Amino acid sequence: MQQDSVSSTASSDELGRVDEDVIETGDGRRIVVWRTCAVTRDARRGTILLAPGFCRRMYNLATLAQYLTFNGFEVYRYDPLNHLGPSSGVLYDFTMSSGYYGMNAVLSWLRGERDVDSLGIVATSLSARHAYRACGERHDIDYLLTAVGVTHLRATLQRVFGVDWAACERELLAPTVVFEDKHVIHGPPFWEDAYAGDWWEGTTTQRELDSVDIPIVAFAARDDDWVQPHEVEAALGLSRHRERRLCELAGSGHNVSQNPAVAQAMLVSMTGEAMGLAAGFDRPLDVKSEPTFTQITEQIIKERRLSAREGS
Amino acid sequence: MTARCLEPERTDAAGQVWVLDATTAIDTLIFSDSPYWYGLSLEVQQERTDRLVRAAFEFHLENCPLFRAYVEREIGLRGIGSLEEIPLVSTRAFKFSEISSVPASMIEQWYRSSGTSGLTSRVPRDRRSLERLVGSVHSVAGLLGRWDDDGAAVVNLGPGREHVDDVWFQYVMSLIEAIHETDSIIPSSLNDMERIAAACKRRLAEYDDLIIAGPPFYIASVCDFLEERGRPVQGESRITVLTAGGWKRVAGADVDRKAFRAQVRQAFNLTSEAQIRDVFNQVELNSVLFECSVHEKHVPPWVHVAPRDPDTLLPVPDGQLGIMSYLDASCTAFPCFILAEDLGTVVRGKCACGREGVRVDIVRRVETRAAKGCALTMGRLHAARQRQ
Repeated sequence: MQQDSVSSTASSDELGRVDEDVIETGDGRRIVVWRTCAVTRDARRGTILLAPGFCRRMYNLATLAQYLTFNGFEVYRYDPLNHLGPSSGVLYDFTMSSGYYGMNAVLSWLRGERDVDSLGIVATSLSARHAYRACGERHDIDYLLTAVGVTHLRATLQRVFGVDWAACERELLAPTVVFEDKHVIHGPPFWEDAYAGDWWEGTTTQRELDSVDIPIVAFAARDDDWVQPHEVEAALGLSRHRERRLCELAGSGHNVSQNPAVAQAMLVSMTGEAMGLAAGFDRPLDVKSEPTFTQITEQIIKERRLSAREGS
Repeated sequence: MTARCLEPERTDAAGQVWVLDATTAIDTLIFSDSPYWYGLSLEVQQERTDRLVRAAFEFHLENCPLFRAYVEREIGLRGIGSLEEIPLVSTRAFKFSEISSVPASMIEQWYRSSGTSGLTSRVPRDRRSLERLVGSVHSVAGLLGRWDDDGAAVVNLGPGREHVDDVWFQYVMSLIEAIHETDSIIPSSLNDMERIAAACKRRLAEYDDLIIAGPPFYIASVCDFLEERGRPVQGESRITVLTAGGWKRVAGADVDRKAFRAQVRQAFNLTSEAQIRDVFNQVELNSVLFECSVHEKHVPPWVHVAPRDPDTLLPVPDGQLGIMSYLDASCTAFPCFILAEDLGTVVRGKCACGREGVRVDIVRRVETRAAKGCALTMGRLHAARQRQ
């Protein structure tokens, strides 16, 4: 598939420029949002919100944002509340409901303040669970794409931490939980919220998605230790929803970017799927252009610097 | 830019589930962390080397007309017995010819050597080759230490990303900023030295670990400055010093590496000389060779290394000095089957660091008229033949 480089159709000023916005929530908190514009002269394809995985920063989505902007999308990213970055709150207080509240606030802002027309979500890992619920509760999302998206929180956390956390008694919970050897979360509030908000079980996700009628395309990694493809397939209920699809990535674990060849294949495929969905088709469109290695590394470095300046 | 055209393998009749398989044997090896390649036995590593280099040889025969013509003249197209039969491209050839195995549209950039003497080499890289280069660096992280992307910062004694053009060494060093928070400062004045010392202290306060990277002569200059200032940087076990690039310019002669490490350890107040590692790369080689804790440079299994006899170009026995040759399967941009201008040795088996594998010792640049002439002649011959 021969593809064009975008560099000939976009000025260096446009290419990869990141604009920042701050959303003030009703309760006085701030959510920091990054926007990157479409850089092709093709017809604009609408807006996509990228939701980061747990403990991932906005610049971790730099390459995905590039693929989408190079192919006509306006892309927004945000740092969740009670997370690592510049938005209000600290990671210690993260709960599933705080993550969901933040995503909803950004979606409402995009529809209300930004008056976007077509709006899709690309959600990765834990934020996919929020996106699945949002698609059930809101009626202003046009399509959803997920990458290694969590559908069965209880099973995923059991694999991550080695214990069935949901089955623990409240009184016996450790005060803190450490993710990836360094990120400390206040355990009991997370646990209580997961029960109160009905976040734990995969059957809940399945039930919530049963009432959703927008197209969903999920990417799952075959060697993922945390999110298994069969869980995603069960949640999507493919036999009951012919408009949904599942792509299984061979040779990849949860960290899809570890193998750049796999990551590139997924980015091309995901971008093509998004182009198709935004156009109202039930099939992907051909991806017209890809960023080069140099453009990717320059964008990552630029966003790392921006993030460091902001303390995000 | 050409992306892989991946025909989905539909796994259900309704076409709702499909499998995307972009894996290759070499990428799986380079980017795997379970286990890292240096956790494999020597036997398994050598089996992988043989398979991957043969596949790369076939790829370049098919995609590089210059290389194909060269191979046809040298050994015919009958195929090879052992890897040592693969005709070598002298690094000199890159000074005279543009050698590429990919269409121009896929070349990210032509990179050149630092060019301390005479003509510089010009060598292409495509996206896949560059990603594998980065992968070769990332995959040896375990040889150095387990740094978290957000937990370690870098002080790079060289130009920052925006000041790097096509000089390979500087370009490779600048890529580190895509992984870690980086201060890039060239130590060319007293003010620069002050900034470097300040950056080291600031980053030590902000991060768990600090990597200081640069050519040996820059590192040595910084050490002299730190000594003059009473060794103000307390590196202890948290600093790793990476040296890369030419050793001669430290003093204009062969440098005593042990003495250099002792100097660096003292100047940065390091706990151990194991925190000072040298890495080897050149513009014509797509992989980076890192030292382990006992200062042996381990060769990843996608690279075949063999020192050669200067007269016959046949491989010399392990431990014996010869002109270094590399067959690097990670490169798709050009046939990375090169005869270098360094003298070195190879040993294989278990290293004192506990890992099995192949290690090299790059001893010095080729200096004798006979040996240098061999490489020079090969380069000119190759270039002349390509022009025919």
